[in-house]
Amino acid sequence: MTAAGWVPAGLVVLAALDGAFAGFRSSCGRTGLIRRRREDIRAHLRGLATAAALLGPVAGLVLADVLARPERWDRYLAAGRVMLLLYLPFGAVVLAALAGYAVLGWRRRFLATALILGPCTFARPYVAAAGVVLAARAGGDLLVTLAAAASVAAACAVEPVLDRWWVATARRRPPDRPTGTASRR
Amino acid sequence: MMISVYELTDLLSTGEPVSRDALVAQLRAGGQRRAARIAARLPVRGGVLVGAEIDALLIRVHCELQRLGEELQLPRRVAEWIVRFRAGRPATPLRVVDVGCGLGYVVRWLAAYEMLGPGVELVGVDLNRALVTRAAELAAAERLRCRFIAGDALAPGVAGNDGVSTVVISSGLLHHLSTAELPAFFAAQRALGVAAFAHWDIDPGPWTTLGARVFHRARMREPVSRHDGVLSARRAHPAGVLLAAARAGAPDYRPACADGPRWWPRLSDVLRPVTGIAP
Ligand SMILES: C[S@@+](CC[C@H](N)C(=O)[O-])C[C@H]1O[C@@H](n2cnc3c(N)ncnc32)[C@H](O)[C@@H]1O
Repeated sequence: MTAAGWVPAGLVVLAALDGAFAGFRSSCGRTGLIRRRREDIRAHLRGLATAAALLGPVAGLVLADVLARPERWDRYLAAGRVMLLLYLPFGAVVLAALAGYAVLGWRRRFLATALILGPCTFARPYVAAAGVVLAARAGGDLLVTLAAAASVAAACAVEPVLDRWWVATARRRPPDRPTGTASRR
Repeated sequence: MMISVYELTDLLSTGEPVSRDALVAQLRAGGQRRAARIAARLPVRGGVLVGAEIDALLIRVHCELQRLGEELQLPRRVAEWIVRFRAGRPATPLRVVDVGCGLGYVVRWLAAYEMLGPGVELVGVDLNRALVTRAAELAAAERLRCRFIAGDALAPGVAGNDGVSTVVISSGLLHHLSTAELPAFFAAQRALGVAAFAHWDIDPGPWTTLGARVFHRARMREPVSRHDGVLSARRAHPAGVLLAAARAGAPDYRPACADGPRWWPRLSDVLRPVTGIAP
Protein backbone atom coordinates (compact mmCIF):
# COMPACT_ATOMS: atom_id res chain seq x y z
CA MET A 1 0.00 0.00 0.00
CA THR A 2 1.20 3.53 -0.71
CA ALA A 3 1.42 6.23 1.95
CA ALA A 4 -1.80 7.65 0.49
CA GLY A 5 -3.47 4.40 1.49
CA TRP A 6 -1.88 3.35 4.75
CA VAL A 7 -1.96 6.72 6.50
CA PRO A 8 -5.76 7.10 6.42
CA ALA A 9 -6.25 3.37 6.91
CA GLY A 10 -3.95 3.35 9.94
CA LEU A 11 -5.66 6.36 11.47
CA VAL A 12 -9.09 4.83 10.97
CA VAL A 13 -8.04 1.56 12.59
CA LEU A 14 -6.49 3.39 15.56
CA ALA A 15 -9.56 5.62 15.96
CA ALA A 16 -11.82 2.56 15.86
CA LEU A 17 -9.79 0.74 18.52
CA ASP A 18 -9.58 3.86 20.67
CA GLY A 19 -13.33 4.37 20.39
CA ALA A 20 -14.09 0.77 21.31
CA PHE A 21 -11.82 0.93 24.36
CA ALA A 22 -13.32 4.27 25.39
CA GLY A 23 -16.74 2.64 25.24
CA PHE A 24 -15.50 -0.17 27.44
CA ARG A 25 -13.91 2.17 29.98
CA SER A 26 -17.07 4.20 30.19
CA SER A 27 -19.09 1.07 30.95
CA CYS A 28 -16.82 -0.19 33.71
CA GLY A 29 -17.89 0.07 37.31
CA ARG A 30 -21.50 0.86 36.40
CA THR A 31 -23.72 -2.11 37.13
CA GLY A 32 -21.85 -4.29 39.59
CA LEU A 33 -22.79 -7.48 37.77
CA ILE A 34 -20.33 -10.39 37.72
CA ARG A 35 -20.82 -12.07 34.34
CA ARG A 36 -20.48 -9.27 31.88
CA ARG A 37 -19.24 -10.69 28.62
CA ARG A 38 -22.26 -9.56 26.64
CA GLU A 39 -22.39 -6.23 28.39
CA ASP A 40 -18.70 -5.72 27.59
CA ILE A 41 -19.14 -6.51 23.91
CA ARG A 42 -22.03 -4.08 23.71
CA ALA A 43 -19.90 -1.44 25.45
CA HIS A 44 -17.11 -1.83 22.87
CA LEU A 45 -19.58 -1.55 20.00
CA ARG A 46 -21.22 1.48 21.58
CA GLY A 47 -17.78 3.12 21.78
CA LEU A 48 -17.09 2.26 18.16
CA ALA A 49 -20.40 3.72 17.02
CA THR A 50 -19.90 6.87 19.08
CA ALA A 51 -16.39 7.33 17.67
CA ALA A 52 -17.77 6.92 14.15
CA ALA A 53 -20.52 9.45 14.83
CA LEU A 54 -18.11 12.01 16.29
CA LEU A 55 -15.20 11.50 13.89
CA GLY A 56 -17.31 10.98 10.76
CA PRO A 57 -18.12 14.66 10.24
CA VAL A 58 -14.44 15.64 10.61
CA ALA A 59 -13.44 13.02 8.05
CA GLY A 60 -16.25 14.26 5.79
CA LEU A 61 -14.96 17.83 5.94
CA VAL A 62 -11.41 16.73 5.15
CA LEU A 63 -12.70 14.72 2.22
CA ALA A 64 -14.75 17.65 0.92
CA ASP A 65 -11.74 19.95 1.18
CA VAL A 66 -9.53 17.50 -0.70
CA LEU A 67 -12.13 16.96 -3.40
CA ALA A 68 -12.49 20.68 -3.89
CA ARG A 69 -8.74 21.37 -3.80
CA PRO A 70 -6.83 18.16 -4.58
CA GLU A 71 -3.46 19.92 -4.19
CA ARG A 72 -4.02 20.04 -0.41
CA TRP A 73 -4.05 16.27 -0.06
CA ASP A 74 -0.28 16.18 0.47
CA ARG A 75 -0.57 18.45 3.49
CA TYR A 76 -3.20 16.24 5.09
CA LEU A 77 -1.09 13.23 4.31
CA ALA A 78 2.03 14.74 5.92
CA ALA A 79 0.03 15.65 9.03
CA GLY A 80 -1.62 12.23 9.20
CA ARG A 81 1.72 10.52 8.82
CA VAL A 82 3.31 12.20 11.84
CA MET A 83 0.20 11.57 13.92
CA LEU A 84 0.36 7.93 12.98
CA LEU A 85 4.08 7.76 13.79
CA LEU A 86 3.25 8.96 17.31
CA TYR A 87 0.03 7.04 17.88
CA LEU A 88 1.11 3.70 16.42
CA PRO A 89 3.80 2.94 19.02
CA PHE A 90 1.43 4.08 21.77
CA GLY A 91 -1.29 1.81 20.41
CA ALA A 92 1.20 -1.04 20.05
CA VAL A 93 2.18 -0.73 23.71
CA VAL A 94 -1.48 -0.84 24.75
CA LEU A 95 -2.18 -3.85 22.54
CA ALA A 96 0.91 -5.62 23.87
CA ALA A 97 -0.31 -4.98 27.42
CA LEU A 98 -3.72 -6.39 26.53
CA ALA A 99 -2.06 -9.46 25.09
CA GLY A 100 -0.05 -9.69 28.29
CA TYR A 101 -3.25 -9.40 30.30
CA ALA A 102 -4.65 -12.34 28.36
CA VAL A 103 -1.65 -14.64 28.74
CA LEU A 104 -0.15 -13.67 32.11
CA GLY A 105 -2.47 -15.76 34.28
CA TRP A 106 -4.63 -14.30 37.01
CA ARG A 107 -1.91 -13.72 39.57
CA ARG A 108 0.20 -11.48 37.34
CA ARG A 109 -2.54 -9.93 35.25
CA PHE A 110 -2.60 -6.90 37.44
CA LEU A 111 0.90 -6.00 36.20
CA ALA A 112 -0.46 -5.18 32.74
CA THR A 113 -2.94 -2.76 34.29
CA ALA A 114 -0.66 -1.27 36.90
CA LEU A 115 2.37 -0.78 34.69
CA ILE A 116 0.88 -0.04 31.28
CA LEU A 117 -2.88 0.19 30.83
CA GLY A 118 -3.63 2.50 33.77
CA PRO A 119 -0.74 4.89 33.07
CA CYS A 120 -1.61 4.83 29.34
CA THR A 121 -5.19 5.90 30.07
CA PHE A 122 -3.65 8.65 32.14
CA ALA A 123 -1.27 9.69 29.34
CA ARG A 124 -3.74 9.29 26.47
CA PRO A 125 -5.05 12.89 26.24
CA TYR A 126 -1.52 14.28 26.39
CA VAL A 127 -0.30 11.92 23.67
CA ALA A 128 -3.35 12.83 21.60
CA ALA A 129 -2.62 16.55 22.01
CA ALA A 130 1.04 16.04 21.13
CA GLY A 131 -0.18 14.50 17.87
CA VAL A 132 -1.99 17.74 17.03
CA VAL A 133 1.17 19.77 17.63
CA LEU A 134 3.18 17.47 15.36
CA ALA A 135 0.42 17.56 12.73
CA ALA A 136 0.35 21.35 12.83
CA ARG A 137 4.08 21.50 12.17
CA ALA A 138 4.02 18.85 9.45
CA GLY A 139 0.90 20.17 7.70
CA GLY A 140 1.92 23.81 7.92
CA ASP A 141 -1.64 24.93 7.27
CA LEU A 142 -4.42 26.27 9.46
CA LEU A 143 -7.16 24.07 8.05
CA VAL A 144 -5.06 20.93 8.43
CA THR A 145 -4.26 21.87 12.01
CA LEU A 146 -7.94 22.47 12.70
CA ALA A 147 -8.83 19.10 11.20
CA ALA A 148 -6.21 17.37 13.37
CA ALA A 149 -7.42 19.20 16.47
CA ALA A 150 -11.05 18.45 15.71
CA SER A 151 -10.40 14.75 15.18
CA VAL A 152 -8.43 14.48 18.44
CA ALA A 153 -11.14 16.41 20.29
CA ALA A 154 -13.75 14.06 18.83
CA ALA A 155 -11.80 10.96 19.89
CA CYS A 156 -11.32 12.36 23.39
CA ALA A 157 -15.03 13.18 23.59
CA VAL A 158 -16.17 9.57 23.10
CA GLU A 159 -15.80 8.58 26.75
CA PRO A 160 -17.37 11.72 28.29
CA VAL A 161 -20.26 11.49 25.81
CA LEU A 162 -20.86 7.89 26.82
CA ASP A 163 -20.51 8.79 30.50
CA ARG A 164 -23.36 11.23 30.00
CA TRP A 165 -25.34 8.56 28.20
CA TRP A 166 -24.89 6.26 31.19
CA VAL A 167 -26.09 8.95 33.60
CA ALA A 168 -29.11 9.66 31.42
CA THR A 169 -29.88 5.94 31.22
CA ALA A 170 -29.63 5.66 35.00
CA ARG A 171 -32.05 8.57 35.43
CA ARG A 172 -34.55 6.91 33.11
CA ARG A 173 -34.44 3.52 34.85
CA PRO A 174 -33.19 4.14 38.35
CA PRO A 175 -34.27 1.13 40.36
CA ASP A 176 -33.16 -1.54 37.94
CA ARG A 177 -29.45 -1.04 37.53
CA PRO A 178 -27.21 1.12 39.66
CA THR A 179 -25.18 3.23 37.32
CA GLY A 180 -23.97 6.64 36.34
CA THR A 181 -22.38 9.46 38.18
CA ALA A 182 -24.40 12.39 39.40
CA SER A 183 -21.73 14.39 41.14
CA ARG A 184 -19.48 16.56 39.02
CA ARG A 185 -16.30 14.92 37.86
CA MET B 1 -1.27 5.26 64.44
CA MET B 2 -4.23 7.54 65.22
CA ILE B 3 -6.68 7.98 62.38
CA SER B 4 -7.44 11.67 62.28
CA VAL B 5 -8.39 11.85 58.60
CA TYR B 6 -11.70 10.50 57.39
CA GLU B 7 -12.90 8.73 54.31
CA LEU B 8 -16.06 10.35 53.05
CA THR B 9 -17.87 7.02 52.77
CA ASP B 10 -17.34 6.46 56.52
CA LEU B 11 -18.85 9.82 57.37
CA LEU B 12 -21.73 9.32 54.93
CA SER B 13 -22.81 5.86 56.01
CA THR B 14 -23.38 6.38 59.70
CA GLY B 15 -27.08 5.61 59.32
CA GLU B 16 -27.91 8.91 61.06
CA PRO B 17 -29.04 12.16 59.40
CA VAL B 18 -25.94 14.19 58.53
CA SER B 19 -25.84 17.97 58.54
CA ARG B 20 -23.84 19.10 55.53
CA ASP B 21 -22.50 22.22 57.23
CA ALA B 22 -21.32 20.19 60.21
CA LEU B 23 -19.71 17.65 57.88
CA VAL B 24 -17.90 20.33 55.89
CA ALA B 25 -16.77 22.04 59.11
CA GLN B 26 -15.47 18.75 60.52
CA LEU B 27 -13.48 18.05 57.37
CA ARG B 28 -12.09 21.57 57.21
CA ALA B 29 -11.10 21.42 60.88
CA GLY B 30 -9.14 18.24 60.13
CA GLY B 31 -7.36 19.92 57.23
CA GLN B 32 -9.20 17.79 54.63
CA ARG B 33 -9.90 20.64 52.24
CA ARG B 34 -10.54 18.52 49.16
CA ALA B 35 -12.94 16.27 51.05
CA ALA B 36 -14.69 19.39 52.39
CA ARG B 37 -15.12 20.70 48.84
CA ILE B 38 -16.64 17.40 47.73
CA ALA B 39 -18.93 17.32 50.77
CA ALA B 40 -20.06 20.90 50.12
CA ARG B 41 -21.55 19.76 46.79
CA LEU B 42 -23.56 16.86 48.19
CA PRO B 43 -27.34 17.19 47.87
CA VAL B 44 -29.18 18.56 50.91
CA ARG B 45 -32.73 19.22 51.98
CA GLY B 46 -33.13 21.59 54.93
CA GLY B 47 -29.39 21.47 55.57
CA VAL B 48 -29.40 17.69 55.97
CA LEU B 49 -27.91 15.33 53.37
CA VAL B 50 -30.64 13.62 51.35
CA GLY B 51 -30.58 9.98 52.47
CA ALA B 52 -31.76 8.46 49.19
CA GLU B 53 -29.21 10.42 47.19
CA ILE B 54 -26.42 9.44 49.57
CA ASP B 55 -27.45 5.78 49.29
CA ALA B 56 -27.38 6.06 45.49
CA LEU B 57 -23.97 7.72 45.70
CA LEU B 58 -22.62 4.98 47.98
CA ILE B 59 -23.90 2.35 45.56
CA ARG B 60 -22.15 4.07 42.66
CA VAL B 61 -18.96 4.37 44.68
CA HIS B 62 -19.04 0.68 45.55
CA CYS B 63 -19.75 -0.25 41.93
CA GLU B 64 -16.56 1.60 41.02
CA LEU B 65 -14.76 0.04 43.94
CA GLN B 66 -15.62 -3.36 42.54
CA ARG B 67 -13.24 -2.55 39.67
CA LEU B 68 -10.35 -2.55 42.07
CA GLY B 69 -11.34 -5.99 43.33
CA GLU B 70 -11.59 -7.14 39.72
CA GLU B 71 -8.18 -5.81 38.76
CA LEU B 72 -6.53 -7.21 41.87
CA GLN B 73 -8.24 -10.59 41.35
CA LEU B 74 -9.43 -10.39 44.91
CA PRO B 75 -12.10 -13.14 44.81
CA ARG B 76 -9.61 -15.62 43.35
CA ARG B 77 -7.17 -14.86 46.12
CA VAL B 78 -9.91 -15.36 48.68
CA ALA B 79 -11.01 -18.59 46.97
CA GLU B 80 -7.44 -19.87 46.90
CA TRP B 81 -7.06 -19.30 50.63
CA ILE B 82 -10.40 -20.88 51.56
CA VAL B 83 -9.79 -23.89 49.33
CA ARG B 84 -6.43 -24.43 51.00
CA PHE B 85 -8.01 -24.04 54.44
CA ARG B 86 -10.77 -26.45 53.54
CA ALA B 87 -8.48 -29.09 52.09
CA GLY B 88 -7.94 -30.43 55.62
CA ARG B 89 -11.71 -30.64 56.34
CA PRO B 90 -13.39 -31.56 53.07
CA ALA B 91 -16.52 -33.20 54.50
CA THR B 92 -17.62 -30.50 56.95
CA PRO B 93 -20.14 -27.93 55.75
CA LEU B 94 -18.68 -24.47 55.82
CA ARG B 95 -20.10 -20.98 56.03
CA VAL B 96 -18.14 -18.08 54.60
CA VAL B 97 -19.13 -14.70 56.04
CA ASP B 98 -17.87 -11.56 54.34
CA VAL B 99 -17.80 -8.79 56.98
CA GLY B 100 -18.43 -5.38 55.43
CA CYS B 101 -19.26 -6.96 52.10
CA GLY B 102 -20.46 -3.72 50.49
CA LEU B 103 -22.10 -4.77 47.23
CA GLY B 104 -20.95 -8.32 47.94
CA TYR B 105 -18.61 -8.60 44.99
CA VAL B 106 -16.44 -11.29 46.57
CA VAL B 107 -19.39 -13.36 47.77
CA ARG B 108 -21.25 -13.03 44.46
CA TRP B 109 -18.14 -13.91 42.48
CA LEU B 110 -17.52 -17.01 44.61
CA ALA B 111 -21.15 -17.99 44.04
CA ALA B 112 -20.98 -17.31 40.29
CA TYR B 113 -17.89 -19.39 39.67
CA GLU B 114 -18.57 -22.04 42.33
CA MET B 115 -14.89 -22.09 43.23
CA LEU B 116 -15.38 -23.47 46.72
CA GLY B 117 -17.24 -26.62 45.80
CA PRO B 118 -20.43 -27.97 47.38
CA GLY B 119 -21.37 -27.60 51.03
CA VAL B 120 -20.28 -23.98 51.32
CA GLU B 121 -22.80 -21.34 52.32
CA LEU B 122 -21.95 -17.80 51.23
CA VAL B 123 -23.13 -14.86 53.34
CA GLY B 124 -22.37 -11.16 52.98
CA VAL B 125 -22.99 -8.78 55.89
CA ASP B 126 -22.77 -5.02 55.93
CA LEU B 127 -23.89 -2.32 58.31
CA ASN B 128 -25.18 -0.31 55.36
CA ARG B 129 -28.66 -1.45 54.38
CA ALA B 130 -28.66 0.24 50.97
CA LEU B 131 -25.52 -1.64 49.95
CA VAL B 132 -26.68 -5.08 51.05
CA THR B 133 -30.10 -4.52 49.49
CA ARG B 134 -28.39 -3.81 46.18
CA ALA B 135 -26.04 -6.75 46.70
CA ALA B 136 -29.06 -9.02 47.10
CA GLU B 137 -30.70 -7.56 43.98
CA LEU B 138 -27.55 -8.11 41.96
CA ALA B 139 -27.28 -11.68 43.20
CA ALA B 140 -30.91 -12.30 42.26
CA ALA B 141 -30.36 -10.77 38.81
CA GLU B 142 -27.67 -13.37 38.14
CA ARG B 143 -29.39 -16.18 40.05
CA LEU B 144 -26.51 -16.61 42.47
CA ARG B 145 -26.67 -18.81 45.55
CA CYS B 146 -25.64 -16.47 48.34
CA ARG B 147 -27.41 -14.26 50.84
CA PHE B 148 -26.96 -10.85 52.36
CA ILE B 149 -27.72 -9.45 55.79
CA ALA B 150 -27.79 -5.86 57.05
CA GLY B 151 -26.17 -5.59 60.45
CA ASP B 152 -23.02 -5.90 62.50
CA ALA B 153 -21.42 -9.11 61.30
CA LEU B 154 -19.63 -9.58 64.59
CA ALA B 155 -22.70 -9.27 66.81
CA PRO B 156 -23.66 -12.71 68.09
CA GLY B 157 -26.23 -14.43 65.92
CA VAL B 158 -26.14 -12.07 62.92
CA ALA B 159 -24.33 -14.40 60.58
CA GLY B 160 -25.44 -17.38 62.67
CA ASN B 161 -23.41 -18.94 65.42
CA ASP B 162 -25.33 -22.18 65.19
CA GLY B 163 -22.46 -24.63 65.25
CA VAL B 164 -21.74 -24.42 61.53
CA SER B 165 -18.02 -24.07 60.92
CA THR B 166 -17.56 -20.45 59.83
CA VAL B 167 -14.75 -18.63 58.09
CA VAL B 168 -14.91 -14.86 58.41
CA ILE B 169 -13.37 -12.85 55.61
CA SER B 170 -13.27 -9.21 54.63
CA SER B 171 -11.67 -6.96 52.09
CA GLY B 172 -10.78 -3.33 52.42
CA LEU B 173 -12.28 -3.22 55.89
CA LEU B 174 -9.32 -3.16 58.28
CA HIS B 175 -8.13 0.33 57.39
CA HIS B 176 -11.54 1.67 58.43
CA LEU B 177 -10.71 0.61 61.99
CA SER B 178 -8.25 2.54 64.14
CA THR B 179 -5.26 0.78 65.67
CA ALA B 180 -7.04 0.94 69.01
CA GLU B 181 -10.15 -0.77 67.61
CA LEU B 182 -8.32 -3.62 65.90
CA PRO B 183 -7.77 -6.00 68.88
CA ALA B 184 -11.50 -5.93 69.69
CA PHE B 185 -12.27 -6.76 66.06
CA PHE B 186 -10.21 -9.94 66.27
CA ALA B 187 -11.41 -10.72 69.79
CA ALA B 188 -15.03 -10.58 68.58
CA GLN B 189 -14.31 -13.29 66.02
CA ARG B 190 -12.64 -15.42 68.66
CA ALA B 191 -15.66 -14.93 70.92
CA LEU B 192 -17.91 -16.16 68.09
CA GLY B 193 -15.70 -19.23 67.84
CA VAL B 194 -15.07 -18.87 64.12
CA ALA B 195 -13.05 -21.63 62.48
CA ALA B 196 -10.76 -19.13 60.79
CA PHE B 197 -10.47 -15.55 59.66
CA ALA B 198 -8.77 -13.97 56.68
CA HIS B 199 -8.96 -10.22 56.17
CA TRP B 200 -7.50 -8.70 53.03
CA ASP B 201 -6.33 -5.14 53.04
CA ILE B 202 -3.81 -2.88 51.37
CA ASP B 203 -0.11 -3.44 52.02
CA PRO B 204 0.84 0.19 52.64
CA GLY B 205 3.91 1.90 51.23
CA PRO B 206 4.98 4.58 48.81
CA TRP B 207 4.38 2.40 45.75
CA THR B 208 0.87 1.50 46.82
CA THR B 209 0.03 5.14 47.39
CA LEU B 210 1.39 6.07 43.95
CA GLY B 211 -0.47 3.16 42.33
CA ALA B 212 -3.70 4.15 44.10
CA ARG B 213 -3.34 7.67 42.76
CA VAL B 214 -2.87 6.54 39.15
CA PHE B 215 -5.55 3.85 39.35
CA HIS B 216 -8.19 6.10 40.86
CA ARG B 217 -7.45 8.93 38.47
CA ALA B 218 -7.56 6.62 35.44
CA ARG B 219 -10.43 4.34 36.44
CA MET B 220 -12.75 6.08 38.90
CA ARG B 221 -15.31 8.76 38.15
CA GLU B 222 -16.88 9.74 41.45
CA PRO B 223 -14.90 12.38 43.34
CA VAL B 224 -15.76 10.47 46.52
CA SER B 225 -14.18 7.28 45.12
CA ARG B 226 -11.05 9.11 44.07
CA HIS B 227 -10.70 10.80 47.42
CA ASP B 228 -11.35 7.72 49.54
CA GLY B 229 -9.33 5.37 47.34
CA VAL B 230 -6.13 7.30 47.72
CA LEU B 231 -6.77 7.88 51.42
CA SER B 232 -7.31 4.14 52.05
CA ALA B 233 -3.84 3.40 50.75
CA ARG B 234 -2.44 5.94 53.17
CA ARG B 235 -4.54 4.74 56.09
CA ALA B 236 -3.83 1.03 55.65
CA HIS B 237 -2.15 -0.68 58.59
CA PRO B 238 1.29 -2.26 58.22
CA ALA B 239 1.49 -6.01 58.80
CA GLY B 240 3.20 -5.47 62.17
CA VAL B 241 0.25 -3.49 63.51
CA LEU B 242 -2.27 -6.05 62.25
CA LEU B 243 -0.30 -8.95 63.66
CA ALA B 244 0.05 -7.33 67.06
CA ALA B 245 -3.70 -6.62 67.13
CA ALA B 246 -4.64 -10.13 66.01
CA ARG B 247 -2.28 -11.64 68.61
CA ALA B 248 -3.83 -9.45 71.28
CA GLY B 249 -7.40 -10.26 70.27
CA ALA B 250 -7.12 -13.87 69.18
CA PRO B 251 -3.73 -15.21 70.32
CA ASP B 252 -4.65 -18.89 70.00
CA TYR B 253 -5.49 -18.45 66.30
CA ARG B 254 -1.77 -18.16 65.50
CA PRO B 255 -2.26 -15.06 63.35
CA ALA B 256 -0.14 -14.51 60.26
CA CYS B 257 0.43 -11.54 57.99
CA ALA B 258 3.41 -10.43 55.95
CA ASP B 259 4.27 -7.25 54.10
CA GLY B 260 6.65 -7.01 51.20
CA PRO B 261 9.79 -4.90 51.30
CA ARG B 262 8.76 -1.30 51.69
CA TRP B 263 10.86 0.21 48.92
CA TRP B 264 10.36 -2.52 46.35
CA PRO B 265 6.93 -2.65 44.68
CA ARG B 266 5.08 -5.96 45.07
CA LEU B 267 2.55 -5.23 42.40
CA SER B 268 0.82 -8.57 42.50
CA ASP B 269 0.34 -8.47 46.28
CA VAL B 270 -1.18 -5.06 46.74
CA LEU B 271 -3.76 -6.72 48.97
CA ARG B 272 -2.55 -9.27 51.52
CA PRO B 273 -4.48 -11.04 54.26
CA VAL B 274 -4.09 -11.26 57.99
CA THR B 275 -5.16 -14.79 58.79
CA GLY B 276 -5.82 -16.97 61.81
CA ILE B 277 -7.06 -20.52 62.31
CA ALA B 278 -8.85 -21.80 65.39
CA PRO B 279 -6.74 -24.08 67.60
C1 LIG C 1 -14.75 -0.01 52.25
S1 LIG C 1 -16.13 -1.02 52.52
C2 LIG C 1 -15.53 -2.52 51.81
C3 LIG C 1 -16.54 -3.08 50.86
C4 LIG C 1 -16.18 -4.38 50.20
N1 LIG C 1 -15.67 -5.37 51.11
C5 LIG C 1 -15.24 -4.17 49.06
O1 LIG C 1 -14.11 -4.66 49.11
O2 LIG C 1 -15.63 -3.54 48.08
C6 LIG C 1 -16.22 -1.33 54.25
C7 LIG C 1 -17.62 -1.72 54.67
O3 LIG C 1 -17.57 -2.37 55.92
C8 LIG C 1 -18.79 -2.17 56.58
N2 LIG C 1 -18.59 -2.59 57.98
C9 LIG C 1 -17.68 -2.13 58.86
N3 LIG C 1 -17.74 -2.80 60.02
C10 LIG C 1 -18.72 -3.74 59.88
C11 LIG C 1 -19.27 -4.75 60.72
N4 LIG C 1 -18.83 -4.93 61.97
N5 LIG C 1 -20.27 -5.53 60.24
C12 LIG C 1 -20.71 -5.34 58.98
N6 LIG C 1 -20.23 -4.41 58.15
C13 LIG C 1 -19.25 -3.61 58.57
C14 LIG C 1 -19.10 -0.72 56.28
O4 LIG C 1 -20.49 -0.49 56.36
C15 LIG C 1 -18.57 -0.56 54.85
O5 LIG C 1 -19.59 -0.68 53.91
